Amino acid sequence: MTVVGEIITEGLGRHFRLTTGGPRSLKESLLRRGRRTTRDLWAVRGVDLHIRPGETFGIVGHNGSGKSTLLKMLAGIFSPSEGRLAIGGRVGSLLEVGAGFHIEFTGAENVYLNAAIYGIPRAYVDEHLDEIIAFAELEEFAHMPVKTYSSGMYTRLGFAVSMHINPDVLLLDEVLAVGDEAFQRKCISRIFDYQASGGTLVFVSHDASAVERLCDRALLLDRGQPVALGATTDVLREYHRRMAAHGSAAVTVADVQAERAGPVRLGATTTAGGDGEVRQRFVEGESFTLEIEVIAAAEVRDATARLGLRDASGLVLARQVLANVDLEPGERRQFQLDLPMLPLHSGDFSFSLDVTAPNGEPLLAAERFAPFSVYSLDGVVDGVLRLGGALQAKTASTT
Amino acid sequence: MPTTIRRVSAVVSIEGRPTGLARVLGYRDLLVTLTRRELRAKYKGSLLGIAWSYLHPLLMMSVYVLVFSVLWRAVAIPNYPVFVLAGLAAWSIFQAGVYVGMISVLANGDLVKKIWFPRETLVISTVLAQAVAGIVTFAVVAPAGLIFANGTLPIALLAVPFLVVLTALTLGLALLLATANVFFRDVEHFIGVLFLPWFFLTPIFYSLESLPGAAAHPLVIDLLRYGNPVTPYVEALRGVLVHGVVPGPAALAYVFIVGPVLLVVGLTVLQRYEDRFALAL
Repeated sequence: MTVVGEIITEGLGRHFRLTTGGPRSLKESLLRRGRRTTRDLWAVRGVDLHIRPGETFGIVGHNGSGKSTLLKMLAGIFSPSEGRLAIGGRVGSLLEVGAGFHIEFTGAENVYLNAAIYGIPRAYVDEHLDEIIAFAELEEFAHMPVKTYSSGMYTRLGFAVSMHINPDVLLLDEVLAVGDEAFQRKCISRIFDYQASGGTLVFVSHDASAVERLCDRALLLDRGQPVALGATTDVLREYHRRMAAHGSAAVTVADVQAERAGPVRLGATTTAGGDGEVRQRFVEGESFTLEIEVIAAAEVRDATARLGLRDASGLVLARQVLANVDLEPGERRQFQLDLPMLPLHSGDFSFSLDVTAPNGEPLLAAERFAPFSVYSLDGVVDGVLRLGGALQAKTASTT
Repeated sequence: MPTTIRRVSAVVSIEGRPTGLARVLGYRDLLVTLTRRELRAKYKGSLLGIAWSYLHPLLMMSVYVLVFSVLWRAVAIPNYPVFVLAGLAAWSIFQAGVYVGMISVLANGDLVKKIWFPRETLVISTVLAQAVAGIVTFAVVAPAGLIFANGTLPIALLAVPFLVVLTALTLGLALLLATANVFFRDVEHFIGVLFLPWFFLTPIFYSLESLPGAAAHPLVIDLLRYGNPVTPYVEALRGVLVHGVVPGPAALAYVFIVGPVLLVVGLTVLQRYEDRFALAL
């Protein structure tokens, strides 16, 4: 038995039978019985959760990791293929904003309709209609058919209704990215109100910052398997680590460098993490190694190499200079940059390398090679540099 | 790495979710709102609105009266226009209700995939909206039966419970077909084709007794009367409204048992398979 607002799953799993085409017609399923090519796929498997009443729980993972399938099971839209699922109290799910609107109806009529679909009593809507319309900022348009609405107005209305469901368990799927920033802030603060009132919230997103801001605990799914469960920070660190490890490969120089013909050429470049693993995605503050191979066509004496770190816009953030570089004709020389703590916070970055002769003659000008991405740990996505400090409130003083 | 997949056919239900009729009643507000939506959507943007509920059966009745009674003189049924109108009104509740109910889950596929709510409310609300439109027709048929035919007042009131069980029959069939239609889209085409022969096999512009061949083929008549679930309802409604006659005990038992039983069966089947709707849509 569950108490109100509690979610318990044991070995929860859902599998899909993938068929070519899909059994759409009676004739097909009668004639082609047993001859179809089918493939079973576990979208989610082995999920054991105990979400306590009042908890805000996040589900993260890549696209196709099964997080939406899990949420749909919690919402009751898909039944589990195996395992046990118990939810206490009334479940409200917001899997798509504005689902169930009838375009011929006015905004106010659709509020009643949408609310009824979510199981909200009519009397409640009678009481809160003005409030919902005001939340959606649609006072002047409440009595116009929603077919005349802009897409922004449409989503605002859908969200306004959903934010007033006030169920015991609220399930949200990637829906916070609606409307402008001001409206999003309003939605977030409404969700904080819901949390404060003791509601259980399960939140699915691949936006780590939203999960970080809202959730106490989180679950990381990877190809349908639960791989991390616990405090949000720990789970997100694992998420970023996996994201960083995902799809790593040595960079092909030809793709990214804009190299001018000269006596020195750029060879292979790799970026690697502290574990020595070659990859292009990193977490802020982890140790980082860049390896560059330079090939000399002619003899080089006393040259100066300037390595630049650039942000996505091409702005040079930092430079590292190496003087007195000597290269023999035909020599391949490795250069290595070691950073014990990556001083970057989040964003996409790349390197540039200039090699100049003592007389100022350019020998090599390579740009935008060894691109890599950095993911923040705190979930905040703006700010490219890692300050590393701590922002604190000082003791209040009255004057 | 080969993975063996256990085929789990048993549906694991979500604990604590109500089923059966209790669930429908728990969502009364949704039913009312959806039914209003259906009724409003039906007439929104139409100039004549609810008048269409009269115009269609009146036009059909005129055609049948002209062809079968005036020109062909094939029928010698007294008060033939009211007789036909009563039959048409009953048939239209059934036929329109079954059709819109059958396609309702598919038509609201987006909703079904995004939000959980009792799926039967989609079917029930569309059927109810059709029933309301049909009952509006009966508001004309009943007085016409009293004034022009042999309808008498206390007996005519029996039409109310008959309409209720006719709606139950319609609902039951609509729930079954709506469920089937989610998995096999042929169902709606098949039923759409079936309606015309079904209409002719239902005694609407004739009565089974008045058929010249009736005496020679009693088995066929019995089959048409009890094999076609609509017939007893049409006859019962017409009996009380047009002829002023209460149906016999067998017919009464039939109309009050078959409809409600089919409703319960339809509801059970839909609730049994609704978990697979979101995937099949």
